[in-house]
Amino acid sequence: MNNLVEIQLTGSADVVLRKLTRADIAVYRFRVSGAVITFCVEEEYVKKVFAIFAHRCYNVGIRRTSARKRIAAAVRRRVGLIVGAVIFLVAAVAADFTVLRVKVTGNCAYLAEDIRQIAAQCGVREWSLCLKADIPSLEARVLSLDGVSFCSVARKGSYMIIDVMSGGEENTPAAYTDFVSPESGRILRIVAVSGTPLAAEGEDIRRGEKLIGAYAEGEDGQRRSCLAVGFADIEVSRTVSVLFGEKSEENARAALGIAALYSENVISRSYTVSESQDGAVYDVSFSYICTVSVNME
Amino acid sequence: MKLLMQLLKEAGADTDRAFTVIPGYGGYFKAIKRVAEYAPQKVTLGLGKGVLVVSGENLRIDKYFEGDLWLLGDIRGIALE
Repeated sequence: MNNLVEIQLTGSADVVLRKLTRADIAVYRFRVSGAVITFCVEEEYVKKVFAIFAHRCYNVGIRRTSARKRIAAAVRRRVGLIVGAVIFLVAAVAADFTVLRVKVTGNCAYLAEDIRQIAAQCGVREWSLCLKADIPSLEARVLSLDGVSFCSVARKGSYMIIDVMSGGEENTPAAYTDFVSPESGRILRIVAVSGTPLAAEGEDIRRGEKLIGAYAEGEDGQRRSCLAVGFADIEVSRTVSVLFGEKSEENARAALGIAALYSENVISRSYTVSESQDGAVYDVSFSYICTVSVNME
Repeated sequence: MKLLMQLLKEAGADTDRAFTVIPGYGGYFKAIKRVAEYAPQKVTLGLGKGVLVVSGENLRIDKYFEGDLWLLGDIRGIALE
């Protein structure tokens, strides 16, 4: 019981107990030390006890107030401290949910604004309470952006760190086979960094023929496997037929422009035009340099 | 407890004036009209008829209300006089 008041008085134990019993007052922790009697009664009976032992010979007094009153008094004495502690706790809890800055890290700086907008839509805003942040949704929406292969959202103090990586860093596995030409044409240059060149400059080569072999020959003539590394410039020649409604200079320029669709390195182009029942047929012949490589990335 | 109630009933008595002693801890006494004498070694409790003299060590009244009395301490003996 925490509403007990400890009372001390001088008197005879049997008389004190008799008086309290007659007054229907419950007595707790009754102790006698010489002529001094100490006991506890419930807080509401304190006045009654003082009335019973009003005579000066009893010398009655309160030794200790109830725990409830002591706590109330302590709170009154330290109201500033308690209010400060409450403010501190509230501030600490609020700070735990407050985001001061949203920081986008990783190699997707160009997507930072888009990611911040997505974060705001998912409840993560700068200088605001972040009570309804939907982190899984934020990660899923960032991952759905073009080129994004990794996204991790983590809190560091008052910062929300969104780490985003694009998929551009995937390594192409090395090819351990012979390097074959993807185009037919004349070889203008061939460089074998590793492996054995199987074609020479000025040679005509067909698509699928080997350019660099994935082996090296030792002085003893024995072949040892190795990685084929190198590149080649091939002059590729093509002829394309285009049908226009009529023969004109404008259509001739358009026909010649077709070569640019194949390569930026066009080295020659020409055309012949012939009439047909459907219109003018432009046969455009052009050549361009195609650079091919293996294991050079 | 049921056996006690049955025995008391058969003897024509009741539990209103019974007491319980817990060795080394204290005792619970009922129907105490008054505390005639109180000292750490001896407590004399007044009943309706006669007195109950409780002797022991470090005896102290923990609660006393409406005839029910909790006496703490090491009770060594009880005499009904």
